[in-house]
Amino acid sequence: MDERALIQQLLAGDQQAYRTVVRSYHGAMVSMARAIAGAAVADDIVQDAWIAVVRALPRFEGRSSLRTWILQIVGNTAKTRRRREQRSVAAGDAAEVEGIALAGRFQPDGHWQLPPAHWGASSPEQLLEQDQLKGVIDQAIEKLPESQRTVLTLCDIEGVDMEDVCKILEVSESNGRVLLHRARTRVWNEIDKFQRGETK
Amino acid sequence: MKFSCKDITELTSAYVDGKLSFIDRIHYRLHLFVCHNCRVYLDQFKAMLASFGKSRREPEAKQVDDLVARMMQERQSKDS
Repeated sequence: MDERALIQQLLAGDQQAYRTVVRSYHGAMVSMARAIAGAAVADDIVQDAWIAVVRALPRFEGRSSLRTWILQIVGNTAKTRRRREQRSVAAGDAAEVEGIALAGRFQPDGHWQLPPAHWGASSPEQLLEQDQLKGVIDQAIEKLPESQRTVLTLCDIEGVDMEDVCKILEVSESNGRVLLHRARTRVWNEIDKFQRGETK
Repeated sequence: MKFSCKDITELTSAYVDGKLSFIDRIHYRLHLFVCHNCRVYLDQFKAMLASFGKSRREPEAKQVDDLVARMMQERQSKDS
């Protein structure tokens, strides 16, 4: 649906339009809130942010996409909450940028020592079709350091632009790209281990 | 060869996200041309990314209903 038409419907109080935006953006909002203020309060923050969206919508000027604007509201709500609870910032933690997921897989000259396994499932659909493999992927994402998981969830699963994610999380884009690559590599490595029969 | 297999794995996100310089992109592709394992790696990496895009979960219907009800309530209290 055209975004301008959607906004008009929201302003008119169309319940279906509200359902559409909740279904489309809620997941990304929870990931954002969780990254900034912690999992324990993420749902609360997102509920408050939805109310803030309703209140602020008449003033939405369309300078960014609706999703970016809503995520900025979540970001601000979460930061206020974090300040109140004096939680330290996890996003962009330098320690999480370090750590090579593929350590030990290369010879000293940089050639593969342990090359990629043959994956029985190689298309995106096949990767998601097998329950066990899907479980491996979900678990690998859940086990990622928080800032890596956040960037991967927002950019690769929810489809939010890296630039927007970095701006709201207050990390540099280059740092965000490093986090995203580390996250993707770790998940690839877990899938590869599963295909190799190293994990069940 | 400018890039080793290890370099290729470290540059793969930049490659698929279109963030490599023109020259590095050429070197990346040259490596792929001669290296079966790195071609396999890139194909698997791309399949994994595409699977991420398809794995987005929507909130449950009940949760959507509850949130929309609260938002409608807020709208009404704002209007009254």
